[in-house]
Amino acid sequence: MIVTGVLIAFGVGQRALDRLRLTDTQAFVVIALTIALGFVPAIPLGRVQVNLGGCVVPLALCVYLFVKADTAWEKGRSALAAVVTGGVIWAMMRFLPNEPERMWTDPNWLYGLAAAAVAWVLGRSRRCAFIGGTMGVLLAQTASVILVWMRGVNQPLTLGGAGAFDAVVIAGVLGVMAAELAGEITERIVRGKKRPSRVFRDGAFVDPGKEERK
Amino acid sequence: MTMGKKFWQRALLITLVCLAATGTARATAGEEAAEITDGDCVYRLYDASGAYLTCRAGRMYPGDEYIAGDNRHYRISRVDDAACAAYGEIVTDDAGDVSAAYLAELSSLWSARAEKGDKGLICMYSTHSDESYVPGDGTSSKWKNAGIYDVGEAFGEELEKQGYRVIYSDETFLPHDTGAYARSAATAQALLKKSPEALFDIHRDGVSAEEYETEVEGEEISKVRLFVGRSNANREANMAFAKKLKKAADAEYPGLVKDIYMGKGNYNQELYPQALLLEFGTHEIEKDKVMESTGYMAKVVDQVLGGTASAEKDAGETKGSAKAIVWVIVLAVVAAGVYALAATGRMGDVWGKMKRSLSELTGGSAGKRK
Repeated sequence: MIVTGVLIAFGVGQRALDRLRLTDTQAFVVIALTIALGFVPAIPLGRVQVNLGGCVVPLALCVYLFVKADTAWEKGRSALAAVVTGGVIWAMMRFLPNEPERMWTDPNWLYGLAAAAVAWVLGRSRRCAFIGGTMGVLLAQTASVILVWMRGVNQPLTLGGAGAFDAVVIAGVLGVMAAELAGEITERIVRGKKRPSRVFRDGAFVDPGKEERK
Repeated sequence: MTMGKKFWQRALLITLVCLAATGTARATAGEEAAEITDGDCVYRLYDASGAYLTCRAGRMYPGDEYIAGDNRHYRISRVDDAACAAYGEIVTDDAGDVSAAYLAELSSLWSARAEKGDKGLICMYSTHSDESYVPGDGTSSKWKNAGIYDVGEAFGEELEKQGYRVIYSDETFLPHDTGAYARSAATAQALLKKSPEALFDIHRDGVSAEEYETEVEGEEISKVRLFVGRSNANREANMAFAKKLKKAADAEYPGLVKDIYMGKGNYNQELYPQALLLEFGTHEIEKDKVMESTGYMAKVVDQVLGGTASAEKDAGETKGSAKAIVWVIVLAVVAAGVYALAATGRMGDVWGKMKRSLSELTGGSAGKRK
């Protein structure tokens, strides 16, 4: 079961990171580190416990994607996606039913879908979806436990504690895949069976028809 | 259309979808408050003749399964949410199969089993860290020093007396909201890295005290309900484990294990075949009675984990795990197919797209390059 889960995580993770324009080697390193470091016990930092694979690796990838964003607008909307998705996820934790039998699906999946939805609103960005999903879960979990601390309960804040299968990783990867699927479906509806007008070249989407017209 | 218009149209659409989804989920839940108020959402289960079977502090759904104290196995076929009532059809008259041969086998193993120094590790945690007992703790929910931890600690000490090493996480997973199981999953994962014999999530129910009052060996104690999550890849293995515990309890301490309820949800049981949620009593029963039940329950756990019926255990778990793996693979292939269909737009191209992706994933050693 664990082997099956790891193999599928590798496959889905590789596809998601491919959509974020990471090279095959980069994707392999990120996934391998996420899975391997996920088995290392969480590092205690005061009341906060941080899992390297479930929190630090995805967080580092968020920082990398943020820094690599070409424009200030792209950086701005990535940051906005993180904050808005964090708010949506916190509201989901607070207001959706609290017993598993009354949830219509696993909340971890909903967090990823929320990230994809926010990314879609902000301009169909896979980068926004990943940063929104990953940072959104981290921000929502932090806010939730801060509220517990304010009531005098000394509860540890565990970030990414379930390693590669933590909500942090699932929301980030699922966010990208859901954004990609929504984009493909939308494009298919709009474009039908015609060939795509834009192609990915030299790190950006270009419209060959437009270039010829110039 | 300008980018600004598109943005606001999408924002409006997403807001409406979120509102509808939240509204649907809450309407489905059938209650206004996010946190459960004990006794507010108690569903009652009846058999086909209308005879009362049991109740639970939570919603019942068609497809839920119930193995009663007398081992009759029911599957819920109809739910009347307005009346908080569910109706079950009988699946089998004896899910427990407590045969004379089995009882004799248990008895001989029980008496013959040598005292071992270390029988292995048992790990426990309490997802609903606020659960408490009104008679004993003064309230049904406490954010500090909740009664459920006293019960968990007592159960842990009794298991140690049986020769097990026990880790009972004293972490809390507050608040009692949608994220509680996600928070406790991290702890469950960490505990599983220690390779325990079993993983228990210690809870208490939220129904009336009479439902849980029992007498075992002349002592008034609380019953224990075994809860299995059916939206879970390990469900068969978890159920097999629960049935063995009930069988052992029925043989040695009739009346101790109230029943087995298999409800919607996963309850972190997808993480481990020998994971179970134990409901030690209910919020209205005296905590002392619950504490007394932990000793009997520890002996029952020892009967099952301490070497009895190991062949049966292995067979049941292997079957359950194999089925889980098949399900995971089928779901992954279906998801890949949906994506490939969206990407290519033609049914005929789906297989080709999937083969190309497989080739990319495996460095060309499988699938098709072009």
